[in-house]
Amino acid sequence: MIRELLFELRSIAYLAIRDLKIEFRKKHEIFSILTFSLVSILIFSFSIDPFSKYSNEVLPALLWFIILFSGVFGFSTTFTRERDQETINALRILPISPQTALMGKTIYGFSLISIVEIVIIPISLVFFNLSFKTNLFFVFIVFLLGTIGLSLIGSMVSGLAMYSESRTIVIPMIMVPLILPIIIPCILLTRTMILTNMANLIIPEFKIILFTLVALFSASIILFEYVLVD
Amino acid sequence: MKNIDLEISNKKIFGVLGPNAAGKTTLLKLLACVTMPTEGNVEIMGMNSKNNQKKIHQHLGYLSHELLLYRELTGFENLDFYSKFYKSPNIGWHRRIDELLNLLMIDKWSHEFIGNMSSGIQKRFDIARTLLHNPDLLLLDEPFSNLDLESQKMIFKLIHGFRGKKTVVISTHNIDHAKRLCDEMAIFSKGKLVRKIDKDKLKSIKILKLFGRILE
Repeated sequence: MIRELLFELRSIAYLAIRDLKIEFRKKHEIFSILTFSLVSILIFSFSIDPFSKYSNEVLPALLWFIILFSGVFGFSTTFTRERDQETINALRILPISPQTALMGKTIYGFSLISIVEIVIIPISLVFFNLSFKTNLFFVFIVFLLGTIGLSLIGSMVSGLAMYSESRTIVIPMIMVPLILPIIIPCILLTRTMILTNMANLIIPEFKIILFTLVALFSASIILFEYVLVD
Repeated sequence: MKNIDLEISNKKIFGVLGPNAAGKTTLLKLLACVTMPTEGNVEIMGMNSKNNQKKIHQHLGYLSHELLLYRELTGFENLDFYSKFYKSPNIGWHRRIDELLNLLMIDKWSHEFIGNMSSGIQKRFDIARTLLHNPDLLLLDEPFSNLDLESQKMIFKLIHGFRGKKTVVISTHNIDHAKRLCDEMAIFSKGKLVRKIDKDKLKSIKILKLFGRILE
């Protein structure tokens, strides 16, 4: 049992490493995602005065807006690229479960979005002259949970939509409503963390995110059993 | 495919013949657990394909119509990636990969990207991928397509060497290859099994006539 679990975990890592290797070699998504993120910050920085009292109200929504759409860009191709290049059968013939394939893609997506966050969070804090008042550990947890949620939903939706001819429309249409129960609490938490250092204020939103993550994880594990089979 | 009742003997080379759209690829996909039957069962090495995909895939090598290699990785990186999912051989993976690269005479291309190779070399790397984990059951969908004559001879010799050692299922259009390689064969047309032929009758000229009639 433990040996099998270790094999699955190793397989998830190998799948994610392979995707990252291909991504950094060809720069399919990361270049467009980073360009979109940086241009968005630049454009918004012209319209929002960094010294105005409203900048700390706007920045959380702006940050999560950029992260969400970076995810939509990135995830629209995770499974569909495999299908277009006809390598989807490579995933089907490996001695792994469909859930392992999903988790491999989720880790890959998580890594891509994390890179975007590492670049855009410090830049946007400088551009909007802001800082987090809460302990940075809470900031890390909020962005970690939000990114996990986004990666999980993105990978699942990409898998579900890969058979669709109009997947560029289908992916955001399914993904955005599913991600709202995670993104909205994340925006509220980020706002609270910029405005106050009261950690106890953020507990209810944390609960909502955790509950949604558990529900989404369970649903994706059950659903994905049927997604990868032709 | 409908009403298929077929048993493939252990450690024999089994040919699947038929014209285009006869169901050869579908049959191999069913055996590879890539496609699941909507009705009925597929049993591979005594295991039902619906519940034992992971176990079956440990013992199965599938050469698909499509290239199951990543174009952005080199030949060696592709084989190295696939090796991570199987039980390591006694000689270790690097030696096993070298062995296959030498056997298929593709060692000089091993550090080139798959996307930059000719289709014949890509196919040979895909065959190396299929043989990598030394599977007991080989499913080869058109193994001679996209190959020049010399490569066809090499692959023919390789498959011939599996006689009595592995169970091999080959789908092909080429009746001459099938007659020389296979112990048994089945002829399909329009998703139906037309006839199963055992080794004694393989040399008979009637098969050619039957196949010719189906092709017509």
